[in-house]
This record gives sequence, structure tokens and C-alpha cells, in this order.
Amino acid sequence: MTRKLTDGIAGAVILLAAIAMYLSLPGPGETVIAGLDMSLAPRLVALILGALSLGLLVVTFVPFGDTDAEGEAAPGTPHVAYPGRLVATAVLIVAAAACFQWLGFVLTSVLYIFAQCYILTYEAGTFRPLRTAIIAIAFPVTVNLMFWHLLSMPLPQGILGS
Amino acid sequence: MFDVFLQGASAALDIYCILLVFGGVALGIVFGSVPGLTASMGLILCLPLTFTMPPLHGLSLLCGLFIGGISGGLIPAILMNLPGTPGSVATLFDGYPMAVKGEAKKALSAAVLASFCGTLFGIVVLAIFAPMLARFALKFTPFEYFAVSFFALSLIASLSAGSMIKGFISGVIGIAIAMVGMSPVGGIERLTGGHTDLQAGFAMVPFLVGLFAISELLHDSGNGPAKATMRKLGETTREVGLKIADVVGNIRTFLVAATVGTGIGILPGIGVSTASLTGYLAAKKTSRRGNKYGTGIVDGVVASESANNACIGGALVPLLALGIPGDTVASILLGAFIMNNIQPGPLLFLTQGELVYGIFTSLVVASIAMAAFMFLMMPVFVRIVRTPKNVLMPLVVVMCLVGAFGLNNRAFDVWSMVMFGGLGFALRTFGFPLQPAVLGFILGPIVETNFYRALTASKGDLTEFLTRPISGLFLLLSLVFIALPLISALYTRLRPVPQG
Repeated sequence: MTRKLTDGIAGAVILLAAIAMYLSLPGPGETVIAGLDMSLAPRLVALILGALSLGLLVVTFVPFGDTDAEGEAAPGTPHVAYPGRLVATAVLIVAAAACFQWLGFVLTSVLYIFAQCYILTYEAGTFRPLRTAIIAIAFPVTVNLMFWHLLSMPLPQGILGS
Repeated sequence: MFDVFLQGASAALDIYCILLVFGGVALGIVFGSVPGLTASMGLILCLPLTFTMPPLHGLSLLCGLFIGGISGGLIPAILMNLPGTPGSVATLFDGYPMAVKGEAKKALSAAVLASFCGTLFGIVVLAIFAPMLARFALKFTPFEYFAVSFFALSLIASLSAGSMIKGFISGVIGIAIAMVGMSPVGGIERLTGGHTDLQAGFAMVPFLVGLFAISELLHDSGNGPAKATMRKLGETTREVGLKIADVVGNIRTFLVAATVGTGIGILPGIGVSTASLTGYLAAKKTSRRGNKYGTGIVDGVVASESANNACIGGALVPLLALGIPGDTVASILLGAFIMNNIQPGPLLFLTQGELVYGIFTSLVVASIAMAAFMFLMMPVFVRIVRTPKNVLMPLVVVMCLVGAFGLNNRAFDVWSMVMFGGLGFALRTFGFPLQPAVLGFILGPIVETNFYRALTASKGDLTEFLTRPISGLFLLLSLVFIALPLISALYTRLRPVPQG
């Protein structure tokens, strides 16, 4: 993907988000309390966001002046070297959030740490399962004990608690 | 008066009191360095312990916790790109890039020194000017609050490295996210889509942790082992640390940021995270190396840490001089005062002079204890970055989960952290800076609340924003700070291209 295309996509997505935000807010005059429109500020923010995203689209696609200047000085085009690992990491994080209360903090963390360590090991043959397993168990147990006993702040126990 | 000061100081320098301060600082550093645990949580947990203590001992313990809690946030901010406390968010802008460059020790040393000096700066201001400053702060109406916070918001342009328009978009996205939930004035539900969890809005910790730590993990996992970066992180203990030239060269940065931090601390209801960000921005604006802020320079770390620690002294000004708590921590301290049958206010300096000067002395002892702990433990902290990143990052994510959940015991906060992680990753992948989003998220609600309060007071008359001197001045400055970079960018774009 070229830089122009990614900026165009970003501008279009943000413009759509701004339109959605504006439409989801009460219209002018619908939320007036003591003479003040309480939806004025969010509507203004949605309009500014829309205007800025339009501005981004304009500077991206309308060639005028020195195109090597301001708009082009930002970081380069998006590049993901390991899309598979990225997706796996995202899935793991979502899974950890989903299991956090059901499995409990300790079990979720043990499984998450072990799997994530494996995914983040890029060089073949360097993954050390025993060391990883020890860390994956010791760390959540220590954190759980600290929160439970020292701070009196219980973390979700999940199936271990029942 | 000098006799009273000596009596207070000697009471605070009692060995039992000093030990309590040291204990409070150590515990505070733990609370500050673990995301989701805050200084105010530490104070609440320790408040019952102070019931049986003499007032000075109890308040000294809490002051130690306060200083330790604010300072502890710098450790994960620099070493893991994870704001331990919202007040340390600006520290990671330069602290983490320094750690990645192999300068973790230098960044930590600079941060600790700036925290120490910033705390002392705030205490000196508190001791000398407390009653006068407190009276001045009381003159601030919603008009002035709006103008000052809008001015801080207008500094988004200076955080927008690269494309300015992307910086502004990032800032407005932060404001929009902060608007989800009930409106601060009037209680109108907005942008919730009917979900009850969204009515309370998004908490700051999940937002910050997701935006920086989770997006960092996603970025790293998608971009490979980054061998050079990891090797440098491992080599960090061999770095010498802070040089005298770094200290001398940052005196101006320190003074600017600490003054801004103390000033914001004095204003009730603004908070340490705003102090840290605004101090950072003010130092950046006034520095000759301003364009290098955010790339990993000592100046940025000094600015953020001196501002957030100077805020401590500032926050105590309205509490001690007027009995008005400026933030959550000050409210807990007010509770501790009241439980000991002491009423803070203008008469406190006359009726309880010994106690007041004892507290000042304990604050100084606490800042010394904080610096001593941090420097002693630095080799241990630095070893954290020697941990292989494939092991360290999952542990950081687990702490993020704990931090997001522990704040309100809500699974929703965990989900919002994950969502903000995705948003942060998308923003950085498409070249949008993250810092303006933080500024927008923190300052947006303050600006909005005071805008409506001011309009209510003026019965909808907008001209009053401009006719009040302080408000008018700051709004004019805001206009200049927004317009100048835009005009400059437009000129650069439209200037004739040299031929040949």
C-alpha cells in the first residue's frame, strides 16, 4: 500500500466515524437545560473531526504547492513484517480479556503468558518451555497472592474459586 | 516563628517519624509503579493505620505515600512504555525511547533527580507562598479554568511531529473518547448506544495502558524481534548514566516545568496528569531543543517528572491554607486532618504551626527517601529491561489486565483497554501521533465542564470569556498557538519550489 492510499483510507474512516458520531447525538435544541444546549460540545467535536478528516483527504489527494513538505513528513507507510504473529497476539489478548473472569486471573494469565512467549519467540529452537512454564506459573501466583493478602484486593478467581 | 519551625522540624525528625516516612515512600513507590494501583489507593489503605498515631506521624506516613506514589510511576513508564500512574504519562514520551536507545539508566537517573528537585520546589513554594497563592487560586472562576485548560489543549500542535493535521485529528479523537458517557453538566447520556457500561465513560488507566502498552505489544509482535533494539535494551546497564552537562543543561527546563506543575497543582480539580502534560509542553515550547522532544532526550523526562512532582506541593497549598482539597489525594489528607480534630484553613498556620512545619519537614524527608530508594534500587529496575522482550511483554500485559480490572473491579475496563490497544496500534500504524490523543482525553472534560459552567454563570454570554483579563489573555495565546503552526505549515506547502 502506498502512503497516499493509507492516508486516504484513514481520512475516509475518520470522516465516517465523525458522521456517525454527529448523527448519534441529539439534534440542536433537543437537550437544552437552563438555556444551554448540552449537546453543543460533542456536536462541535464531531464537526471538527469531520473537517479535519476532510482536510487530511484534501492534502492527500489534491496536489498543490510543495508536496514534499508538511503533509509528507510523517512516518512511512504501514508495514507489518509478521502479520500471522500480529493476528495471533491480538487473538490472545482478546481471549485473555474474555476468559479473565470466567477462568480467573491466575489460570488466564498462566495460559496467556505461555502462549504469548511462544508467539514472540521468532528464532526457531530458542523457545524454552520449562523456563517459560515456571515464569508463567510463578508470576500470576505471586501477583495474585500480593493482591489477595497484602492489598486485600481480590482478583477474579474464576473456576478455581468455585 | 522560627521557634515554631524548629519545634515542628525536630518533631518530624524523630526516628519513629522518619521510619514511617521511609515506609510510606517505599509502599508508595510500589503503588505508583504497578498500573491500576494509585497513590490515592495506597493512602486509603493506610489511612486506618494512622488512627492510633499522633497526628504528625500519621500525616507524615501519608505524605511519604503521596510522594512515593507519584514518583513510582516513572519506573514502568521508562522501562516498559507503561504509565504506572496517569501523572507519569508524559514521562514515557521520552523515557521509553531513551530506554530503547540503551539509555534506561540515564533516563531513570534524570527522572529521579527531576522528581526530587520538583518535589522540593513545590514544598518551598508551599512553605513560603501558601496563603497568598491559595487566595489567588480562589479568584479562578470557570472562565479562567476554561481558558487555561483550552490553552493547554491548544498546545496539541506542538505534539504533532510530522503531519500537523494528523496530530489535531489524534487530539480530537481523544476528546471524543472522553465525551462518551454522561455529560459533566446536565447529565445527558451521549455516545453510549444504550449500553449501561458506557454511561460512566472510559476510565483513564485503561485508556492510557491500552493506547501505549498494548499497542506496543501489537506493534512488536507484528514487526519482528527488532534485534538491534533488544540488544541495546540488554546493554543498558553498561551506560554511564546522567552527566553533569545533562543536569546543568536542563536547569531552565526544570524551572519552567516545575513552575507550571506547581501552578496547576494549586488550582483545585485539575490534577497531576494535566500538570505533567502541561509542564512537558511548556518546557518543549520554550526549549531550543523543542523539536527533539519525543525522540528520547533527557529534557523531556526532566520536564515531565519535575512538573508532576512539583504538583504535590501545589496541591497542598489550597488544602493547608484554605481547607479546600484540590484532588483525590488531598481529599484523603483532609480526612486524616479532620479525624485528628484538626481543621485546615487560614488559622492552621497560627494555631498548629508546629504541625504544619512538621509536615513540611516530613515532605522534605520523604523526597530524600524517595531519591535514596530509587537510586539504590536502580540496578534492580534496570535489570528489568535485560529480560528478553518475549518474556517481559506478556508479563506487562498481565499487569495491564490487573491494572485495568483492579481500578473499578469492572470487566468492562479490561475490554476497553483491549479496544484502546487496537486503536493505539491503528493510529501509530497509520502515522498518527498518540500524545495528542492523551492530551485531548485528559483536558477535554475539564474544558467542557468549565465551558458549560462559565456559560451558566454568564447566562450564555460568550463575550465574558474575552473581557476577563486572565481568561482573555489565555484565549488569545491559544489562538496564536493554534494559528501560527497552521500558517507556517500552509506557507511551507504553498511556497514556490526553487527551480534547478
